Amino acid sequence: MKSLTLEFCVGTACHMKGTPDIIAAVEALPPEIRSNILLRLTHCLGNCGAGPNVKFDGILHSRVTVDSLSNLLKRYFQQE
Amino acid sequence: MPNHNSEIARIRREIYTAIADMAYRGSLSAEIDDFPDKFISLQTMRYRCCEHKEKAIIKERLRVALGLTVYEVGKHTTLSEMAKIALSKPLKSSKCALEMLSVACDRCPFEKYIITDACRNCVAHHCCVVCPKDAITIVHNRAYIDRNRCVECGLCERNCPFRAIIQVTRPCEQACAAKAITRDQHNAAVIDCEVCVNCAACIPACPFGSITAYTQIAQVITRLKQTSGPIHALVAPSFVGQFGPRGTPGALRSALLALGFTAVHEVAKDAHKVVTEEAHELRERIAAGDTFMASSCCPSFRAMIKTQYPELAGSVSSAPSPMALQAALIRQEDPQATIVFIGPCIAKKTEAANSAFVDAVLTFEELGCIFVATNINVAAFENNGALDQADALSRGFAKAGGVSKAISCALGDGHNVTMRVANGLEEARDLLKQAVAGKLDAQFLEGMACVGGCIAGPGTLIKPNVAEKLLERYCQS
Repeated sequence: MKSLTLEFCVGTACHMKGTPDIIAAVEALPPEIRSNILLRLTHCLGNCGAGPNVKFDGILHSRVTVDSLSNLLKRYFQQE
Repeated sequence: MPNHNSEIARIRREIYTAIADMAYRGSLSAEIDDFPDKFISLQTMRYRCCEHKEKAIIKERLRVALGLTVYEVGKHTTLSEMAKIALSKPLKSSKCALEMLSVACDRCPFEKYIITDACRNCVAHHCCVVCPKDAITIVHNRAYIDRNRCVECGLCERNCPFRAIIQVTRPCEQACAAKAITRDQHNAAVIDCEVCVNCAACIPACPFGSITAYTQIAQVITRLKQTSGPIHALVAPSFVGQFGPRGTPGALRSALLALGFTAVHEVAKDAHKVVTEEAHELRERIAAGDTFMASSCCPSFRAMIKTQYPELAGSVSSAPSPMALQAALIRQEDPQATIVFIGPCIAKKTEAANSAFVDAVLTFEELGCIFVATNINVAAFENNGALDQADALSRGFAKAGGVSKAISCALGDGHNVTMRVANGLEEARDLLKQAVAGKLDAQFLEGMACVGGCIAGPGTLIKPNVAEKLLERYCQS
């Protein structure tokens, strides 16, 4: 299975808009998927008005929700 | 427990951030009148009957966020006039911290038992048979409850084989352990301020977001902008982790200083004095023959005793809360200081209103919105150590059981004082009832209005279980 780098913004603006929930959702993934994800935290991704921001495999996604992230993950890991 | 990711929390935070932003730029009275139009047209109208109602609700939310009660404004007062009133008020909390927005209340059904479409008008009619008041008849092929006869005993609900009869309680009434929520003549929910203990459990409970707390966001920002005189931030021990994994204690300290506070203190710094005083008092009371003593640090718990169990009022410890003590110490050293308490608690707003030393109270959520509005990113600051000096036991006050633990240590090894923790107001009510009957099996009763303690307070930003782990780690550091 391929690996994935997720970069979460934990700056105050994103934090107030729901970063804790999406980080918790990633941490709660089944171990066989979670072990392939490298989780990085950063203090700003430069799009504070549209948080929470996540860099998913190098691409910036804004207004991320638990649902939208889980869809991205599903698509990413089904591709192989 | 607060829901940090609900639509209601999102709207609330957007409103707080907007107020903070306008106050910071000094354009509150110039821009606030246009805010409801901007806010409602930006996002499509989704929740209420029409956009006019949505806007009316937003206007009410702005008024409460400005810290104004319904009695301080007239029916036709514009938002810009409200902003002027709010900013001209002296920096002081209001006596009642919560308001039920009548326009936002959806007037949920209050009949306790409702017959649903699942009723099959069966032959047996168990509902009619078991009803002790003969309140159920069959109307239009369906069971019907005569409200004038029904005594809400619930027998019909339990006996219907189709479960066609359901029990409904208004979420706000169900969440209110103090039983302070009643109905007005139009069936809108109202808070009885004489009974309310300001625990704010109703805020996350109401799915329409009709309960809101007064804030001092605009007033504190305006004060921060005046560079005259020192302004101290007093931070409650439950701050750990509230501003995210990079919002470390050292970073929060730097962020508060960047915001304009001249000094940052941990409330826990001198809480050991509270512990010593409380332990000493407990020993004396037991020696004098008192059956029990209740803790004094949680304002909601204290209010519950005062309003609902007045016969126990003498049993509450006379020790000040850590907030009150710390604020008094600061004021002693610096008589000109403005003191702002920052914590997870809404009831502290009423405690501050009665305190001579605390000028304003912000919740972590309100502070977070101020940071967002002022472009201060807590996570961008360096982690340079602790917020302030404090011992582990005092920091532990933020968790249910923490006060008992500290008192137990202060009493010394081998003490035989029995202790109980009332974890949440429901539990507190049960234990206080036992105390009234003289049947409480404890000599020290720690009361925490929020289940889990302050880390689960209504003004927090992270889940209590996460906060608990981070607090333990901070206490050990």
